[in-house]
Amino acid sequence: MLTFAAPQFALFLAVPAGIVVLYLLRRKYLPRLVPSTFLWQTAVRDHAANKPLQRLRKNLLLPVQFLAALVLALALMQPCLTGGKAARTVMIFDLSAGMQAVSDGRTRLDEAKERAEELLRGLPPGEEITVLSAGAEVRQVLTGSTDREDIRLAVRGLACGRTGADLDRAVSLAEAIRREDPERGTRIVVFSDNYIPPAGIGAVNAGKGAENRGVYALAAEEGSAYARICNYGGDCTLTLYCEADGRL
Amino acid sequence: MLSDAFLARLDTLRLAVRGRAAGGAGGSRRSRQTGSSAEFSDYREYIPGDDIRRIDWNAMARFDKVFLKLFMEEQESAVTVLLDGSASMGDKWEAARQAAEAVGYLALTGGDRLRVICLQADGNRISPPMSGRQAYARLEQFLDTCAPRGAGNLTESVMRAEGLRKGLCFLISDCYAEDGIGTALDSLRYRRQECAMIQVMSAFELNPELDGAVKLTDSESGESVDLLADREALENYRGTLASFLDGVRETCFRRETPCALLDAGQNFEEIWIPLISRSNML
Repeated sequence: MLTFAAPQFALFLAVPAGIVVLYLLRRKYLPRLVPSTFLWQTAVRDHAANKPLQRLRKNLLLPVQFLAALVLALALMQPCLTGGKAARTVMIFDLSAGMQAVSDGRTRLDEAKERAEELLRGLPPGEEITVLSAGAEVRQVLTGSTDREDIRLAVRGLACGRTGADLDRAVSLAEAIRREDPERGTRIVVFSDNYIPPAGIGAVNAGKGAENRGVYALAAEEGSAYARICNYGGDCTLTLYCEADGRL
Repeated sequence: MLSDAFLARLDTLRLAVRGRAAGGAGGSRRSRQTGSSAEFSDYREYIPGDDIRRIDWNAMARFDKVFLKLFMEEQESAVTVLLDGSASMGDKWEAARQAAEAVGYLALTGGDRLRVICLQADGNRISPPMSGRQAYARLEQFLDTCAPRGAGNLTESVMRAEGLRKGLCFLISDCYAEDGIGTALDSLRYRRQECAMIQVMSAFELNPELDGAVKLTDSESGESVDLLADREALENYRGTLASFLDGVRETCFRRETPCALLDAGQNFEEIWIPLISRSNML
């Protein structure tokens, strides 16, 4: 089934139609009375006989222009084939605490969400999307959905946890999904901050990894709290504030 | 229609006859016969316009008819003007008529007998014979009654022309004939005419200024030609025109017929004398 991904460009079909109309209008010959067409008839005969290529060129001009405009308009409309088995995409979101790092006024997770939305817009309709979140556990947020609204809501609802992300688990789950149906092409994209993917998997890394220090783990029990602080940037001095019940 | 000043200039010129003039009637044309004495040769009947100084009063007294004396070295030629009167001559008619008048004037002042035949498809119009300078007014009157019309086959009309006495024949036409003018000229030469061709072309035909898409309709036949008048088409027409004119010149040349091309777009009185003197018609 042939559909058009960008049907709004159908208005450009007016251009080839316009070319035809112009050609039709052009063919008006102004009448003129001359004493004799004796010489003109001979001239026109010779012209036609001697230059078959010229006549062909003149005759070709209209259809070539028409076809070019038509093809251009159709191309703008982005024809694509859908139906049968659509392709799938698996999006894995890194929900580790590090994704809360702020750069350029937004967190890395926000950036990842924006880029996920961009990716969504570029996907053809009918593509099945699975959203996996990788926090302390790997959860299937949404499986095989084609409803873009649902997907967007699911993605926006993702929030960072306080722990690290088990990306490897998530990736192997995604690969299992892929193996389920080898006929279809399954794209796997990991949205993280500095993940280097294995072959066959794409990664979208948010944020600039330069100055990155943060609380990578936090656990609290009665009476004691445990925090792990990591610094991935250059040497620096940090002051750690610890509050309990609002009191330092 | 020709101005008096122009006619005065024509007075100094004479039509050339290469062959021997037909004998038998008084004229001021030299014949090939030798003898310069004003020797009496023959009589002929007077027709209006002849020089009355030639009248032989004795013969008139004797026979009660007016006769002219003829002299050996003065012999007369007949001049016939064949004027193409088909519709294609429409926008060249003025120039063609002026050419007919100029040739006619030269013939009359040269003492020749003049006849004008307007060639038309539905029957040629033939003028009465004229001679003498005074007949010029009658020539003009006759030409006033002619107008170009009808689809003409030039060759046919020429072949139908009657009553041609041996002498000079001037064919004034645009030479638009499918098979060329060769047959027409040959038929004239067979009737002992010494031909001269005056081809008349209009300014538009010699240099068409067309632009865009035009539908040219023939005023003679009603046929039309659709044409996209771009530079190439005009180049092509000019090529066709050049080979057409060359063809006419060549046909005339082969028959030893002088040929002149008259451009109807130019001032007739300015170009006529140089034109015919160049073409060996004088």
